[in-house]
Amino acid sequence: MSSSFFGVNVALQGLYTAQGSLNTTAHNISNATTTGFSRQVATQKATRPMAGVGSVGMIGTGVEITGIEQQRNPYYDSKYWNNNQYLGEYNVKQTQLDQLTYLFNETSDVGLSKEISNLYTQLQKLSTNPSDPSYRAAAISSLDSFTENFNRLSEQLNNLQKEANFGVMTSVEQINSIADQVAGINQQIINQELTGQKANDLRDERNNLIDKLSSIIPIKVIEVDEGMDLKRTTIILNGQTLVDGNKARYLECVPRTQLHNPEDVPDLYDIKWVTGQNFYTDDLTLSGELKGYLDIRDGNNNDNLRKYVSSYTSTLPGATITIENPQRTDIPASGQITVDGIDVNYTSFTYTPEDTTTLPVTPSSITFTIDDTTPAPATPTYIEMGENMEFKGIAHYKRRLNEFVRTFAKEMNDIHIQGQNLYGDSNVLLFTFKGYTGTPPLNDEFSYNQIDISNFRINSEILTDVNKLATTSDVVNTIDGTDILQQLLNKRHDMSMFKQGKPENFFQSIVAEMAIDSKQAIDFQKGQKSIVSSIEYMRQSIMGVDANEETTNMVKFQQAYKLAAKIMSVMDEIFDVTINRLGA
Amino acid sequence: MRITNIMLNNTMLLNIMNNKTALSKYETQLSTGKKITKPSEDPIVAVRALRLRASVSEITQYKSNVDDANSWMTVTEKSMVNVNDILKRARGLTIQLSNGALGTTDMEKIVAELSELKNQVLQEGNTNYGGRFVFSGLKTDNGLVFTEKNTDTYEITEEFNNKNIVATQRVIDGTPPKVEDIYRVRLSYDQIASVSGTTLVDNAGVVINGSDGTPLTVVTVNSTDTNANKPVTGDVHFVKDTGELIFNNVEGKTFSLNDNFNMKFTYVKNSFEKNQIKPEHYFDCIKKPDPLDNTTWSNFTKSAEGMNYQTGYMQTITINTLGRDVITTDLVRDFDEIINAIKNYTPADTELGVLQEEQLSRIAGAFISDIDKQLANTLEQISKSGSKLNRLILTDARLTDDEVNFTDLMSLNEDIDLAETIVKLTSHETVYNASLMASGRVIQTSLLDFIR
Repeated sequence: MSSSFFGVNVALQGLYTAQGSLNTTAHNISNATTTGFSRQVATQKATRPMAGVGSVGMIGTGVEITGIEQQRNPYYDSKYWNNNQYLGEYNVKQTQLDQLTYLFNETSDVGLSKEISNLYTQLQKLSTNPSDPSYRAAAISSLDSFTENFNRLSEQLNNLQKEANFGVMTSVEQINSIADQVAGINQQIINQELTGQKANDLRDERNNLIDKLSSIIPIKVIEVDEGMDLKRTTIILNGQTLVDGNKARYLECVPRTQLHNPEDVPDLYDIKWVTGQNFYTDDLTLSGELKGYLDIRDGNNNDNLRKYVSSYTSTLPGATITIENPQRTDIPASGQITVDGIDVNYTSFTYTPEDTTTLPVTPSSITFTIDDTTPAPATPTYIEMGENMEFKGIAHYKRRLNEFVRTFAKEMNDIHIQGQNLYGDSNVLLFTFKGYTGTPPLNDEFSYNQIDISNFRINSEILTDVNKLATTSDVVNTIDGTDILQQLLNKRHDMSMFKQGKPENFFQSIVAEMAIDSKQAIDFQKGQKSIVSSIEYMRQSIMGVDANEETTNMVKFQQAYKLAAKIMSVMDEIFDVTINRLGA
Repeated sequence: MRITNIMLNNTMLLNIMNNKTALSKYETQLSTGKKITKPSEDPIVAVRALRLRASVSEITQYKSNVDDANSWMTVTEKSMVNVNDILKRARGLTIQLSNGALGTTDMEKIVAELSELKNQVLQEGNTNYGGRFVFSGLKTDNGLVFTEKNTDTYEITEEFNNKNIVATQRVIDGTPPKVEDIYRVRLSYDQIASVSGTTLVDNAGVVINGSDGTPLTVVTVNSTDTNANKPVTGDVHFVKDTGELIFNNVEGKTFSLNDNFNMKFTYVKNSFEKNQIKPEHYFDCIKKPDPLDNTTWSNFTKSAEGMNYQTGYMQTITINTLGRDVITTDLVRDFDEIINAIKNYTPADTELGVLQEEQLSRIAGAFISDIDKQLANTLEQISKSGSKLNRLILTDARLTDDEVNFTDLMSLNEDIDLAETIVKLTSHETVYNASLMASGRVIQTSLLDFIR
C-alpha cells in the first residue's frame, strides 16, 4: 500500500512540470525577436516508478523536467561561419569599389576621358589659330585642368587608401573586442555548466559574437570536452589561436616605416600579434572584411618588384644586391626590400638602362646598396618589395595612372621640345611636375619616374606665359604653323603609346577593369548573400521561435496545469472524505 | 520543415526588398533616360559609351574646323575677286592708252588712276580675317605689304632662269635716235641700295663665266649714266635705280637660249614705300631691323606655308592662298613700268618723239598681255580656292552624317527604350503591390486569433 499522500505528490510534480514548461514557453515568446536566440524546450520525463505492493506492478510516480535544451544544430553554425567570411569580404569590396568608380566618375561629364577629350578639342581649336593669345590661353587652361584632375584624383585615391587603412584598423579592433568578450563568456559558461546544465543563453550570446567575427575574418571554432562537464572553446583564426578558453590573444596595428608599394600613402598599418608574432596577411585562405580592406588598400595586381638576385657583394660597409630586368623602376630612393624573407633596408639604388649598342646586350638592372644595420642574408637569392597581391586595388590604379602620366608626359614633351615658342625658344617642356627645377632633368624614361599623379603639372612657365607654348618648329617663318601641334594631336590616335592602345583606350581599359571587378564584387556579394541567407534560413528553421507553436504549447501546458490542479482538488476531496467523514 | 515566424518575416522582407530594387532600377532609368548610372551595372555599355563619346567630340571639333575654314576661304575668295576686278579695270584703261590720240590731261588722269589701282591691288594683299592676314602664309601676324614707309635693311636673294632674261627695246637718244634691243633681268624691286658680291653665281653657287671664259663682273650703274644699257663683254650692268640687270647683247642672247641657265642674285634694299611688297613673303632674305646692330638678323626662308586644318583623322585641307601666287612682283613692276613710261612721255613732233610714242604703245601692249596672264592666274587661284570650298562643303556633309550616326549609336547604346521601360516598371509595380498585399495578409493572423 502506497502512502496516503502519494497522489498529492504526483499531482504536485505535474503542477511543477507544467509551470516549468509554461515558463520556458514564456521565455521563448519573450525572446521571439532576439537576434541569435535559439528556441528552448523543457524536456520532461516520467519519474522513476515504484514497485507496487504485491504483484500490482510498477506504479507511476509522476513527471519531472530533466533539462532546458536549446534547439540548435552546430553543423549549420559552422557552415554559416565558413560562408559569412566571403560575404564580409565582398560587402567591403563592393562598397569600396563603388567609391572608387565614383572617384573616376567616368560615365559622367567630368571624368578623365572627358578631360582628355576636352584637351584634344582645345588643341584642335588652337590649330585653327595658333598664334592667337586667347586660343592659346584656352588650350593651356585645358592642359592645366587635365593635369589638375590627376592631382585631385591622387588626393582622393590617397584618402580612399587611408579610409581602407582605417577599415583595417577597425576590423582589428573588432576582432580584439570580440576575442575579449568571447573569453569572458567562456569563463561564465564554464562556471555555469559545472552543474551539468547547459548555459543556453550564454551560448547564444557567444554564437552571436562568433557570427559577427566570422564576417571579419575566417575562423575555426573548436569545443574540446575536457571531462567533468568541462568544455573548452577555442577560436583559431588563420591557423593561430585567438581565444583559448578564458584567455584571449590580441592583434595590433603597427604603422609601416617603409612603403610596400611605391605609390602607397605613408604609415599604412601592418598587423601583428601583440606577442610579437607575424600575422600573415598574404595567406591565400584569408578572407572576410579584413581581407576586403587589405585587398582594396594594397592590391597591386601582382605588380610588385620581385626578382632573383643576379649578383651581390657582401663586403661591409655598403653591401650591394643587383637584379636584372626589373619589372618596375619607380621605387623610392631609399626603402625596404625583403631578401629571402628578411626585411632589409636599402640606403640608395642605381638604375642602369638596357644597353643594346654593344653585343651581347646588357639587360637593364637595379643595384641596391644595403643599409649596414639591416644586413641581408649571406647568399641572397630572391628579393621582393611589398607583397604580391592579386587584387586590383588602389595601389594598382594609382600605378596605372602614374604609368599614364609618365608615358603621356614623355611622348608629348618629346614632340613639344622640338617646337619653337613665340620667343623662338625650343626645348621647353610641356609637362613637368610640382617642384621641378631642371635638375635632375626630364629626358630619358627613367627620369620620368619623378612624375606621378600627385605632382603632375603643366610646365609652370607655359602656364604663366601663353607665348611659351610651341605650335610650330619655325616661328620666324611660320608663326601660324601647326606642324608641332599636329604631331601632338596625332598622338590621340597613336595606337602604340600604351599596351592598351591610344590614350583614350587607356582610360577605357581602366574603366572596364574597374567596372568588371566592381560588377564581379556585386555579383559575388549577391551570390554569397543568398548562400548565407539560405543557411540562416535552415538555422532559423531549427532555432527560430514560432508563434503558433508557442501558442499551442501555451494552451497545452495550461491544460496540463489545469488538469494537475484538478487532480489536486480531487485528492483534497478524497482526504476530506477520508479524514473528516469516515467514521464520523 | 519548420517554418518559423522569423523565417517568414525574413523571406517576406527579402522579397519586398528585391521588388523594390527592381522598381528603383526602372525608376532611375526613367528619370535619367539612361540604361546605366554606374559602369559596374554593365561594363560593356559603359566602355562603349566612352568610345562613342570620344568619337562624337572629335567629329564636333572637326565640324567646327570646317566652319572656320569656310569663313577663312570665303574672305580669301572675296579678296581675289576684288583683285580680278581691279585688273580688269586697269586693262580697260590701258586699252584706251594704246588706242592713242590722248591729250596730256587724259594721260595724267590715266596715270593717277593706274597708280590708284596698283595701290588697291596691293592693299588687297593685307586682307585679314579676325586680325590674321590671309595672304601671308603662316606669318599671319605680318601683312603682305608695308603700310607705311619703312627703312629696315633687307638682304634679298632672288632666283632666275633663262626665261627671265628678256630682250626689250629701248629708245636711245642720239643722232639719229634709234631703238635698240637690250637683254635684261628685271629684279622685283627698284631703288636698290647695293649689291652683294661682284660676280654672278648660279643657284648652286658656282660662278658664271662670260663669253670670254672669265667670270662675269657686276658693274653698278645708274640709268642716267651713258652706256648704262650697253655693258661691254664680260660685264653685267646692275642698274640701281630701276632695279635691272643688263647683259651684253651677245652674252644675254646666249644665256636666254640656254635652258639650263639659272642664277641667283643677292642685293640689299633699305627703303620701302607704303604699299610696297614685304620681301619676307616672297624671297629668301634676311632682315636687319636695327641699322646700328650688325649682328641680329632675322632669317626668312620660303618654306611651305600651307595652313592645314584637320577635317578628319589624317585628313587635312590647306585653306590659305599665298599672296605671292596672286599678287606677283611682276604685276607690281608692270604697273610701275607703264606708269613711268606715261610719266616720262612728252609728245613731240621730232624723230625721237615718234620713237617714244611707239615705245609707249609697245609698253602698253606688253602690259595688256601681262595683265591677261595675271587675270588668268587670279582666275586659276579663285577656282582652286572654289574647288576647295566645294570639298569643304562635302566634308561638312559627311561630318554631319557621321555626327548623326554616332549620336544615334550613342543613344542606342546608353539610352533606354521608353515604352519598354515603362511597361517593365508597371509590371514590377504590380508584382510589388501583390507582394505587399500577400505579406500584409500573412503577418496579421496567428493561432491566437482563433483561440477563444
